[in-house]
Amino acid sequence: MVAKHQPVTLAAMEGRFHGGSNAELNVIGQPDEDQQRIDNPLYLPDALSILAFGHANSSVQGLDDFPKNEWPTNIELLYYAFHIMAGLGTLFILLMIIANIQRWRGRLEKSRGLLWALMLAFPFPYIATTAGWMTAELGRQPWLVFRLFRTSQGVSDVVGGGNVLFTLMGFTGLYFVLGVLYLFLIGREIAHGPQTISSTIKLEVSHD
Amino acid sequence: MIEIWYAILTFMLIMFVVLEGFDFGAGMLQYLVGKTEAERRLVIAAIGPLWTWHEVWLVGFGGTLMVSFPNVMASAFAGFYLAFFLLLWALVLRGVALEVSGQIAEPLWRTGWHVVFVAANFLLAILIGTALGNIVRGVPLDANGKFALDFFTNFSPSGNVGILDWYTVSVAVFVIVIFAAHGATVLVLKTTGPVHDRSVRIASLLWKTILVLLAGITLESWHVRPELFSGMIHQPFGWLGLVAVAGGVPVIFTSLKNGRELSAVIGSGAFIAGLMTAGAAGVFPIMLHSTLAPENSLSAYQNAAAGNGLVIALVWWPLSLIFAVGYFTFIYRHYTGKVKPTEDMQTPY
Repeated sequence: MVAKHQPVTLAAMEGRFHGGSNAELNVIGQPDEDQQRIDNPLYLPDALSILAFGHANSSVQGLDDFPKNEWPTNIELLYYAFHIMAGLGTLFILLMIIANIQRWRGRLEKSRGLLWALMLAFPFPYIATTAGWMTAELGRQPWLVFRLFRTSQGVSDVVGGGNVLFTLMGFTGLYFVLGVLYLFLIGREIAHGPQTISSTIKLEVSHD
Repeated sequence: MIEIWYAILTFMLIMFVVLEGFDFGAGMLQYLVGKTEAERRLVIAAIGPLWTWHEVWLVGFGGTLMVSFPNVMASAFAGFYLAFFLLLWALVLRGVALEVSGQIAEPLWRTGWHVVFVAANFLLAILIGTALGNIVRGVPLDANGKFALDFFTNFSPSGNVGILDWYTVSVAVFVIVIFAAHGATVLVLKTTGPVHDRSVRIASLLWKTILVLLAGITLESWHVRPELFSGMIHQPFGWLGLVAVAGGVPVIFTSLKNGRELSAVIGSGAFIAGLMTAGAAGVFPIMLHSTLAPENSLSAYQNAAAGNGLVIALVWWPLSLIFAVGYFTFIYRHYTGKVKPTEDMQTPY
């Protein structure tokens, strides 16, 4: 989808500065905008071509195929947001495959290491969804409506910067309060612990 | 086509005000009808499961406004910038207070959130009332169709107006009383015991007050925006609205007296919907009236979405309406009847 409709966004997400065939998929690496390359890359050869167009020889456009004023404004952040999301997603798939194999073998409750990994992974879905949201919002820049309407054209001419700062601070404060409230209530629930086994059994009986 | 979209928008706004209006109203009255903590929880239980669903209509209204009259939305959302954010914040705080107040059975926790809840409900009624007052009075639109409203200027409803002037403030008071009366009427339907009895008394008192206030608001509106009434009598929808208002009043009073609780709620809803229908028909086709120069006003005819966007949207809108109505039916069947005092003590609802 992205490859077909927003190739410049795909190029920025993947840190692909130069276009061409047999595009590699960067797993790790730091985008370097001055040198127009990925530093310390660790990549899967041809994988991006296959993912985007189903063929190892397919050509995937790079950032250099587009005028600079159509590049997403913050390429580094977009690249990292996307890679965090994709990396965590891959991790979830692996974890779930392993967990399901163990469950199928009836050993899920006994695999101590796996249970630790599952428990420690609990913040990752939040991080992954946030990073995914950032990917969408950074990737669509500099457009509000793709190819039709630039973000810079969408600025209101009657609302001043001070007003925007005020509401931004207001929202930040409100969300901070909500965040604290959430942690407090969830923490309280966790400290409560799960229901004891006898009450769980009672509940099951009453449901039947 | 443009008339259809204007009607759809009015319909969605009416749905929001009628449905969420009684949530706001019941919330405002929480301490008046609920003297003990259990009674106050009963008020929340009466509206608890429904409020998110009701707010869907506000979100839908905003989205529909953007689809059908993008210029009007752009102008209004920028012009009422700070007021819209206050509305959002009040909605957030109100929702949070509803959801978390039941989590901990601690008097300080409960009271704190109840105060936030009641205050946010009042603020929301004020904001919605002020917004409606502003739409009737008009805003200082310039020749580009833009405006930026200060909260206060000189409190006069002509020329260089602010969001608050004597007219919009009196509309806000009117809306507070209407929401409270509407909320009390719904509490009559949804509750039993002392909360029910207090709600009956408050509802009939407030509805009597509304009759007096309605006369005052009508005179004020006549002064501020005379064409509202000349427009109203030339539109069939204007007459429909006036009939609903005139029919709603006796229904409310006789039903409250005879204990026909559901028909009292229906009468109350018809009264509010009638007022808004008549108002919307009266100002049509002007969506935002300019207080500076009439030719700057934003008319529905000149500001509808261009091309066949409106036709395409007319295909999609009913589809989402089907979902909305389906959910409406489901949730109202699920939560029909009176709430029982025992239903809720631990859970948020």
